[in-house]
Amino acid sequence: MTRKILSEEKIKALCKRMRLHAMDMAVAAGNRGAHVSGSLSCIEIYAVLYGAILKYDIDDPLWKDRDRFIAGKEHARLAEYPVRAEMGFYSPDVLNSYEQNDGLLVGHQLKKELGVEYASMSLGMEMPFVVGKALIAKQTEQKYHVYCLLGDAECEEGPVWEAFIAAAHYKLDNLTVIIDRNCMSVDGNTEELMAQLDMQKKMEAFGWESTTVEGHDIHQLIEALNHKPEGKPYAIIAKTTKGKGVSFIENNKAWHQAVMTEQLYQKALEEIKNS
Amino acid sequence: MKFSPALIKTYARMGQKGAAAGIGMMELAKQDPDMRVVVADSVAIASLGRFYNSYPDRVINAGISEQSMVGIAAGLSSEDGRAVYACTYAAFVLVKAIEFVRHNLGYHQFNVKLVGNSAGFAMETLSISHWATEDIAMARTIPNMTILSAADCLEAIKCVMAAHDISGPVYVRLSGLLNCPMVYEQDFDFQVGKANTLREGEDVTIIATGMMVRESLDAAELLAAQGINCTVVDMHTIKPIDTKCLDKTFAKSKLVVSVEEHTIIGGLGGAIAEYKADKENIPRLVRIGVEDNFGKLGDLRFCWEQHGLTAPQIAERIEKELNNKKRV
Repeated sequence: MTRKILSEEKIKALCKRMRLHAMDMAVAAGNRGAHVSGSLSCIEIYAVLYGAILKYDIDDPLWKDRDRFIAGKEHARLAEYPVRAEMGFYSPDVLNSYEQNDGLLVGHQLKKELGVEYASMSLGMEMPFVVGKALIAKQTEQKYHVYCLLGDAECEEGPVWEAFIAAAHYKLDNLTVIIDRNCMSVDGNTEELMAQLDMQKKMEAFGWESTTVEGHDIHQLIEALNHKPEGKPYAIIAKTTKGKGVSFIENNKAWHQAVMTEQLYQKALEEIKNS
Repeated sequence: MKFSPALIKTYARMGQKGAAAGIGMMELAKQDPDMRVVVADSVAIASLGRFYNSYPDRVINAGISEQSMVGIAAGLSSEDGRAVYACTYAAFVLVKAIEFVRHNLGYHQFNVKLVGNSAGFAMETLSISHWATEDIAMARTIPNMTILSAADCLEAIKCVMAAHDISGPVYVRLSGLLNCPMVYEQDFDFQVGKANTLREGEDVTIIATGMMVRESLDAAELLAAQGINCTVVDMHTIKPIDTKCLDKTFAKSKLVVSVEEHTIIGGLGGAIAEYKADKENIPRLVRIGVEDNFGKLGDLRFCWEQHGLTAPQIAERIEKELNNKKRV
């Protein structure tokens, strides 16, 4: 049985639960700290993908026609792991073991049965892989669509653009890439550090169809993700806020990777619950 | 596939990469329609012209982007585990793309075969950027890699074909130029992980790989004229190395010599030294190869001369080391 498509209201509620899970996971990560803010910027993207876009069967996670979602943006596991728990790939209890030695969800590991099609880990690693995956899907006439989430600063990695060139060359219209445009990397604002400028124009110049949406607007994300251009790969630039949903984390570079103390945890929970 | 002596002579003219692509991979394509080949603008560079003309849909050009080439190869193989060959210069398929190799082949173990041609100094005056004298060392440090290194054209064919039988990542190292000297004039049994002893002698064991196998055989001939008898081993599989062969070698030789067109750090000599480190009462090991420098630029034989890799130099070095009684 394939999963039901959630209403926008339900996806909103899902986002709230995911943010709460993310805070729990940040606590579970302990004194090593967790990548919090980059996860919060793509909560809506993950929620829309798993709630309304991706075809998958929770009773048969290896179903051959499932859409293939490949997660780049390595520091967003606090968004990726909660959405799969919410959708039933594993129990939300498992999230508490996040970053525990040899745990089910330590780091990023290729576990197709848990929905992880590829562990990209190092930035820029996934985009060439995704091109290979989409290309063989076309050559072997598979029904599934390939989705990939990238960070905007991740696109500073050269192989990402090598693969962008190849995706357009091979007319991979079974491929949709979402770029989380939160305009921040570890050291601060991307436009001050290494300006990405107009990413939609860049993608168009590379031979892709592209659009820009408000990345926390569920309706806009659903509309953009339901669009499937012909003859071209498709890039959605999702304008987001790094750390979205928790005031002291929003646009605060210190929260790229940080330790969640009990006091801050309570404050974050309160904000998320009251949002 | 069976190979007649006449055919083997013909292959020798094609060079290792020509024989590997034109004979070995053509045969694989007949046997396995799912097999794919990824290139980085390297159809010509990898001698894949005939392959491409016969199977254009099975060749995917990643453009001049070797990191992306290895990533794309992994993606192509990721659904059904089909064999995907990634072919270009050894300097680029491995050295340039090393993180993509470690991640996709080493860690994820996708069924990708890297075929690196013109390893060692075969790129001659294109020089350091195009040479590969660190590739074996780099590949060896990555878990799950099998490393095959061809001594001549026939073995190059056997290496690319054997790579297909291995379910998992392989690095096939091809070297030399066109008109590659023959080591095997007749068909022979090639088994991954099982070294071939080509000549027996009780004084010294020379363990060589790649183009250095032929040079070592010639060196052994020169030494025989002086009454020094050498065993010569073709260590075509560098990982996993044939430890049975090494044990036998250590038990019977006064001196063990490794010869490779590669740095003595971490390659064939390094692998033997690492294995030897755990053993007691075994003969001395002399590692002949590139001694942690780049050397002068020039043609293949000139480069070999810079590092003592020609047959007369190998013979001279062995004689000197045997006479160095204090250390033996």
